[in-house]
Amino acid sequence: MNPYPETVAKIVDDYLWRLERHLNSCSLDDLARDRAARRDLVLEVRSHIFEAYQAAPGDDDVARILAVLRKLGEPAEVISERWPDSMVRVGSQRRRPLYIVAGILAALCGIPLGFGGLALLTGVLVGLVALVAAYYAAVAGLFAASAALMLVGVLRLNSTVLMDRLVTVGMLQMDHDVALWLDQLTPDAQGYLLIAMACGFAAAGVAFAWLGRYLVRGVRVLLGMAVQGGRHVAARLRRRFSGQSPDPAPEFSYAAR
Amino acid sequence: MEYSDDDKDRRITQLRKGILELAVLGVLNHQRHYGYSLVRVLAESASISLKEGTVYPILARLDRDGLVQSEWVESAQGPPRKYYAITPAGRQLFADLSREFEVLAALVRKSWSTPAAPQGPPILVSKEQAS
Repeated sequence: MNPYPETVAKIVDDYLWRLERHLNSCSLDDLARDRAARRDLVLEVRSHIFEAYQAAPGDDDVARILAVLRKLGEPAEVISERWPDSMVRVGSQRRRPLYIVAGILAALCGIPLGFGGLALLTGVLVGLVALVAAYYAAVAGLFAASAALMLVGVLRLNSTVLMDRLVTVGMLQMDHDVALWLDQLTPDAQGYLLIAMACGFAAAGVAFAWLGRYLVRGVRVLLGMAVQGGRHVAARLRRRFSGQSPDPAPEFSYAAR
Repeated sequence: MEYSDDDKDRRITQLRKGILELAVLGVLNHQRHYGYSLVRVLAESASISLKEGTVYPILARLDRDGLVQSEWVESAQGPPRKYYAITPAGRQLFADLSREFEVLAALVRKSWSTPAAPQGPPILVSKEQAS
């Protein structure tokens, strides 16, 4: 049931709709949590408006609701911070440098994106995805090298003859100088050295894989932003070509929810 | 250079925003509140003039940081209300921030006396005096 007279309900709906639009442009963090927080904020403000309206003096309903909304502040004031600033702040707080880069990019390109900004951002995102792919290929290379060294090391410890035979037939090859240097060591020492090197490569692989999660998070944020921006642009174009207003008023009532 | 009313208002707003989080924690330290009742307490009891909507992002941030906890409660009068109660971590932060605030407030209130004139012979003297 709608607790307001019709005109007042329209004013409240318009206010809450504008608030939700501002909130939608502030999508920063984990999507599910962010969505719940946005919904909660709108519901809280709706509750606030209702209580303030009930307590507001006067007989003129429109004057009462306008006074309530004036005290509450414009939706932009309720949000209080434009989202590029928020991105930079969140990036600094959580030590995610790509958040900061994203915030700066957004501030420079202007989001919602024009086509030029969209193309630039798409290029940056493709580059970042390629960077992540190359990064993890290097990590995989480290693990592969570690596994190979471990295998050869264990082989050298357990079967000296087999190892020599593999070298003789050319299945195992190494640099001439390295081979001469290794020949000065005993077979056991060679085996332990290779295993130690394998452990070093594996440790480096684990460290790089662990650091890579920051890279992935940053890229995920940028991709999310691009998808969201693209959806906004597509929705605006669809409405424009179908003859509707680019920013239509809501068809449902916030006030009655 | 003139100091305009707009400039003054802007600086007062900044100052209020800076301490609003502490004020919110202070109110919740005494009693749990929902958004509108909290705004009323701030606006009436503490005579803080503010755009009421600015309280909600602060509450959301405090909630996210675990300094307050919230729950939705159905209301007989209208839409459900989201109540906020301070957590032990919030109480500790409030105590720490209050101490810091007192130090700063004491610094602002301190009546600074005119520094005494330096003792000793004058550094600059006329040629007649020097001779």
